[in-house]
Amino acid sequence: MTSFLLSLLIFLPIAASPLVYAVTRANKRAGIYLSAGLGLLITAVAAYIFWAVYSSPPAPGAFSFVEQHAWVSTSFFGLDYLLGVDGLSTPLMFVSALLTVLVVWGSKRLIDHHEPQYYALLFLFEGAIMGVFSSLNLILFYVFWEIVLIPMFFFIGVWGGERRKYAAMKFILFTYVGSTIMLLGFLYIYFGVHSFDIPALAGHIPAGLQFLPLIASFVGFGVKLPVFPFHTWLPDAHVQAPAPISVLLAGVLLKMGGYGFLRISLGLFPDASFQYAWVFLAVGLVTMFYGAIVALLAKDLKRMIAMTSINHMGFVLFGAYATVVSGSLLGVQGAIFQMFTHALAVGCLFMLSGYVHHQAGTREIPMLKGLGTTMPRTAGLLVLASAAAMGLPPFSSFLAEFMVITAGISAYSITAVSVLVPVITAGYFLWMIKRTVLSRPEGASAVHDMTRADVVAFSVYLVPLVLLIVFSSLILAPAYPVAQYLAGLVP
Amino acid sequence: MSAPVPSYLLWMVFILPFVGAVLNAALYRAGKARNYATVVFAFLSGAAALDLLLPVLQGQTLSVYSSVIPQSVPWISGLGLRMGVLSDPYSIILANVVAWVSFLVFVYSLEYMKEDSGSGRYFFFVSLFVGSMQLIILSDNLLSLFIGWEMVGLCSYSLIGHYYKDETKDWVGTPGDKALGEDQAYSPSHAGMKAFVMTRVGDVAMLAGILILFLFSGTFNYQQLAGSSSTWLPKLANSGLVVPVALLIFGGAVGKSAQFPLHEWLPDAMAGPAPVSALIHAATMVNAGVVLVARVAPLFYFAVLLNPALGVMAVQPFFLTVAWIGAFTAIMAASQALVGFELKKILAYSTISQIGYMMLAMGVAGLSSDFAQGLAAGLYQLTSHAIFKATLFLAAGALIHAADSKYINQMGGMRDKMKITFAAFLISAASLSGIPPFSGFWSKDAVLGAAWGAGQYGLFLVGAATAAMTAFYSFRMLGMVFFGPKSERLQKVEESGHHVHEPGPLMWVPYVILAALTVVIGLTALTGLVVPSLNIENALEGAAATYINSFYPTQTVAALTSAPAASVASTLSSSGITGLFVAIGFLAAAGLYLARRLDPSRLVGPTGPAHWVYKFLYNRWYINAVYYKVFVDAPIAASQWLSDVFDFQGLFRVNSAGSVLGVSLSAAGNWLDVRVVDGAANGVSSVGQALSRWVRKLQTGVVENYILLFALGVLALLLVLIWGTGAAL
Repeated sequence: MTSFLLSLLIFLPIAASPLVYAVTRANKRAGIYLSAGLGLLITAVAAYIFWAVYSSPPAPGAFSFVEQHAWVSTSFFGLDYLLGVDGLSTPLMFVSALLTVLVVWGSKRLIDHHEPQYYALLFLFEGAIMGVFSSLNLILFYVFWEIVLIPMFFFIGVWGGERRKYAAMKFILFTYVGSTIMLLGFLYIYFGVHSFDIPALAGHIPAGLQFLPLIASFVGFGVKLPVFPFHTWLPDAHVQAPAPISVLLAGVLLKMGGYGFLRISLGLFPDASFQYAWVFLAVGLVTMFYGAIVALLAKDLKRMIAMTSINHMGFVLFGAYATVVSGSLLGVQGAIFQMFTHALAVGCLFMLSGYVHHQAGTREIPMLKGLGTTMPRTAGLLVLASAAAMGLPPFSSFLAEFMVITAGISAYSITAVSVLVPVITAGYFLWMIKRTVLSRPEGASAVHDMTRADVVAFSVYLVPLVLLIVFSSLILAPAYPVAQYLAGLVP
Repeated sequence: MSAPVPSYLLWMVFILPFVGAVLNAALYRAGKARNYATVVFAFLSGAAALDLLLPVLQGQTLSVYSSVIPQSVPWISGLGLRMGVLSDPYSIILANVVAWVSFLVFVYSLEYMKEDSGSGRYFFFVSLFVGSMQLIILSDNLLSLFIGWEMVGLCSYSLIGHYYKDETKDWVGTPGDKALGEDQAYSPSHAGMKAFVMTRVGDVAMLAGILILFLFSGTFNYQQLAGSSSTWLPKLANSGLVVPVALLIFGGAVGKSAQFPLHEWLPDAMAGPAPVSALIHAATMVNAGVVLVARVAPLFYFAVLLNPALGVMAVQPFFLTVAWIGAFTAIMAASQALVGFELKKILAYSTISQIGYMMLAMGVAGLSSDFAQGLAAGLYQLTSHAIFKATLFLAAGALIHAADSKYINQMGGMRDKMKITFAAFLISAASLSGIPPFSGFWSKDAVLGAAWGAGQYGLFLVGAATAAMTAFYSFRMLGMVFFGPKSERLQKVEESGHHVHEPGPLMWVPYVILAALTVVIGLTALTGLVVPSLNIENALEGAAATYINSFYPTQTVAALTSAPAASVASTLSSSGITGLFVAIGFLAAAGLYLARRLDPSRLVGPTGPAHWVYKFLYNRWYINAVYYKVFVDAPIAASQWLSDVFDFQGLFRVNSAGSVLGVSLSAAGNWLDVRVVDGAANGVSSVGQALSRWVRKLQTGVVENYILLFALGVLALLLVLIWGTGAAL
C-alpha cells in the first residue's frame, strides 16, 4: 500500500501557508494560534512516522513510507517523485516539526512587524524541509533544498538586525554557490549511471565515477553544515537573524548538511569516501576545534552560540567518516544522535539569547550582568541549556559526543585529542555564565523575567534531552540499520 | 545464607533522590514546604538502602529477585550496553554511608538554609547530587558511573557557587592575601568554576582511559571486563598500555578526590554553605574517587594475576603511584592545615589529607598479596571519615554563625555557651586525630596496618608522620575555638548584641547523632577485639572479598591470594609507632593551645626564626599561586597578544569567500586598469573599472544581484531538464 503521509507532511504546510497569511493579516492573535495548531498537527504526524520507524525499522538500505510516482517521464529522461524515510530522516523530521512549533511560540513576542508574511514563510520553510529529509530522488532533493533558501533569505533580510541585508546576501551567496556545485555533481552522476534515484544508485556507481561528485557534494553539504573553511556565513547570519530564525538555522538548516553527508556522500560514494576519509576526518576535527576556540573569544552571546554550532556540527562529519574508516557503527549512530540533541540544545540557547536581548537590550557578554538576579528564570534556563550544549550528563548530548569520539579513536587513535573539545566548550560556557549570570547587576534596569508559560515552553527543549539518556534507543535503534548499511558499503 | 531482596530496592536508592529533586523544582509554589518533601525522599532512599544493609550486617549475601525493574535493563542498543545495579555488600555499605550522612545533612539544612531565598535551588541540587553519587556507587558499568560522575561535578559547581552574588562576606580566603603576586581569596562563583574546571581536567583523562579500555575490551561492564580479562589484557600489554590506561582512569579520581596535583580546588570550594562542605566536600563527592579506584583497581590486579605470563610488574607501577600520591597528598595537606586560620579551610585541608589515606590503602591493596585487606581498610577509613568530618563541618557551620566569623583566631572560649557543639566537636576531633577508642583510630590503624603488612615501610612512615600533624592541627583548632579567653573580636560582637548560642535542634541533633555514631563504631571495634562477631575490620574484609568474588569465581581468588594472618607482634608494632606519633602531635597542640603554656608566635610569627616555614605552608606550598601563573595568567596574556597581533575581524573578512572573490576581481580590475592606462590613452574608462563597480555592487549586498544569481540557478536547472527532455523529443 502506498502511503501518503510523507506527501502530507510536505504539502500540508506549504498549502496551509496562504491560509496562515490570510488569517494572520485579519487577526494577528488568531494567526498565531492557527500556526501553533497547524504546527502541532504536523508534529503529531511526524511523531507518528518517527514512532512507526522506531517500532519496525526498515532493513539496512530499505525505506519506510515509500511513495513513488512518475514525475517527468520521457523515453530518455525520467524523474520519479520518490519519497521514503529511515532511521536517519525520522529524528530530523520530528525535531524540525517540534522546533517549528516552539518557534511559533517564541516569535509571538519577538517578531513585531510583517507578521502575516512571517508565519506564512515559516510553513513554506517547514514543508520544504520535510521534502529535503524525505526525498529519495536527487533532483527532487535539490528542488526542496533550494526552496528552503527562499524563506530563510527573507527571514534574515526582512526581520533581521542592523546588518541584515549584508548577512542575507552572504548567506545566500555561500549556500547558493554550494548547492550549484552540488547540482553539477548530481548531473555528473546522471550522465554516468542514468538515474537520479538514491535507492537505485546506491552501490551502483562505479568507483571511478565517485570522486568528482564526492567533492561536489562535499562543497554543497560542507557549506550548509558548515565545515571550516566554508563557515564564515554562519556567524553573520546568526547574529543578524531574529532569535526564532536562529533556532531554525541551527536546529534545522544545518542538519541538511549532516543529512546530506550521511545519505549522499557516504551512501552513494562509499569507495571515494573511504579513499579520502582521512581528509574529511581532519576537516571534521579542525572544525570541532576551530568552532570551540573561536567561541572562546566571541563577545556577542549569539555569535558564541553560533560558533558552538560549528563545533557541534564538526562532530557529525567526524562521526560519519570515523565509521567509514573503522567500520564502527558508533560514528554514524553518534552523528545522528548529535544532530538531534544539538537541534534542541542549541535551539534553546538561541531562543534564550533572543529573550535576553529583548529584555536587556544587548547581547554583548561583557555588558550583560547579574542575570541571575534580574532574570532568575531566564538565567536558570541559560545555565541548564549551556550544560546541555556542553555535553554534560544528564543531557544526552553527552552520549552523542561520547559515541563519536569513541568511533574516532577506533579509526585513528591520534584523534583521541578530540576529548579536549568538550573541555574547551565547557570553558567558554562557564566563562560566559560567570560573566552574565553569576555577577552583580549594574544599575537598576527594569527588565521582566519570562512567564511561567515560557518556562514550560523552554522545558520542551530540555526535557527530551534528559529523557534520551535513558531511552537512547529511541534514536539509536532505528539508526542502527542505517549505520550498518553505510558501514557495509565501504570496501 | 542468602537473603532474598527485590531488585527495585536497589534502583530506588538512587532514583528517589532524583524524584526528590524534580519534585522540589515542580512544587515551586509550595514555598519552603517543598524542601521538606525533598528531605522525605532522601529518607526513603536511605530506608531502601538500610533494607539492603540489614541482611549484610547479619553476614548474609543478597540474592536479588526481579521485581518491577530487573536488576539489569537494556540501555544503549548501539553499544550493546545494559544498565544495571550492583548488589554486593561493599557497594551496599557505601550506599548506606552516603544515604544516611546525606539525610542528616539535609535535616540540618532545613534550619541552616531557612532564611536563604535560594533554598529551593539548594535542595534541588543537593538532592540531585545525592542521586548522582548513588548512581556512581551502584552502577555496574563505567559509562553510567561516568554519567553520575559528571552530574556530581555539575551539582558541586552550582552548590559551591551558591552565593553567586559574590558578596565579600561569602568569599573564601582573606581578600588582599597574595602569594607570588596572585590573589589568594576567591568569590563563590570563581570557586565554583575553579572546582569544575580543575576536576574536569581529571575527567578528560578518565574518559580517555575508559574509551581506550572499551576499544580493547568492547565493554564497559565490570562483570564482562573481569570475565574477558584474558583477552583484552594481553592486547593492552602488547601496546604497553596497561599502566597508562589505569593511570588515565585514576586521573578522574585524582580530580574528584582532590589529590595532588589536582587538589587545589577543594580548599576554595569552602565558599559554599556549610552543609554543602559537609555533604560534598567531606562525606560524599570526594569519596567518588575512592569508589572509582575500588572498581578499577581489582580489575587490573586480578587480570594480571590471571595472566601470569605478564608478570606482576605489569601493573605494579600503577599501585605504587596510587599509594604514593595518596601518601604525599596526606602529608602535604596536613602540613597546610597546621597553620590555617579559616575554620572550614582547615577542615578542607584535613579532608584532602584523609582522602590521601584512603588512596594509600587502595594502592597498598595492589602491592600486597591480600587485596581484600587494603580494599577493606579504604572502606573503613571512608566510612569513619565521612561520619566524623560531616560532624565537624556541621558544627563549624554553627560555630561560624555563632561567632559571626570564619576565623578561629576570632573565636575562643566558646565551650561554655555551646556545650553540645563542643562535645560533638571534641569527639570528632579526637576521632580525626586517631585517639582510641573513637572510630578514626581503628580506621587509620587499619590503613597503616595494611601498609605495614605489605612491607611498605616508607608509606607507613609518611602515614604515621601525617597522623602526628593531624593530631596537632585538630587540637590546635579545638583549642583556639573553645579554649582560652574570648578574642577581642568576639567580645566586640557580643557587646553589639549578638550572643553566642547553640543552634536550634534541627541543626544540632544531626551532628550529635553523627558524633554518637563515631563513638558507637569505636566501641564496637573495641569489643571486636574479644568478640569476633563484632570485629568490624574482619567484617569489612569479608564484604570486600564478597565484592571481589562477585566478579571472579571464589576458587580463583582463593587460589591466587593467600592471606597470611598478620602476627600480633606486627600489628602491635604498627599500632604502637602510630600511637607514638599521635601522642607527639597531641601533646604539642595541648601545650600550645589547650594549656597555653607557650606562645607559638615566638617561633613562627613575623619576627620568628621559622616564619618562612609558616609562609610556605600558609600559601599552600605556593602550588596554587604557580597554577594561576601558568594556567590562568599565561593563556590570557597569550590570547591578548594574539588578538593584538591578529585582528580577528580582519581575518574573518579575508576568510570570507565572498570577499576573497571580490578582492581578487578588484585586483584583476586594477591590474587591467593600470595596464590600460599605462599602455594607451589616458582617462579611458577601463574594463577593470567596470568590473570593480560590478564587484562593489555585489559586495554591498544589493538584493537584486542575489535574485539574479538565484534565477540563474533555476535557469540552469530548467535548461538541463529541457535539454534532457528536448533531446528525447
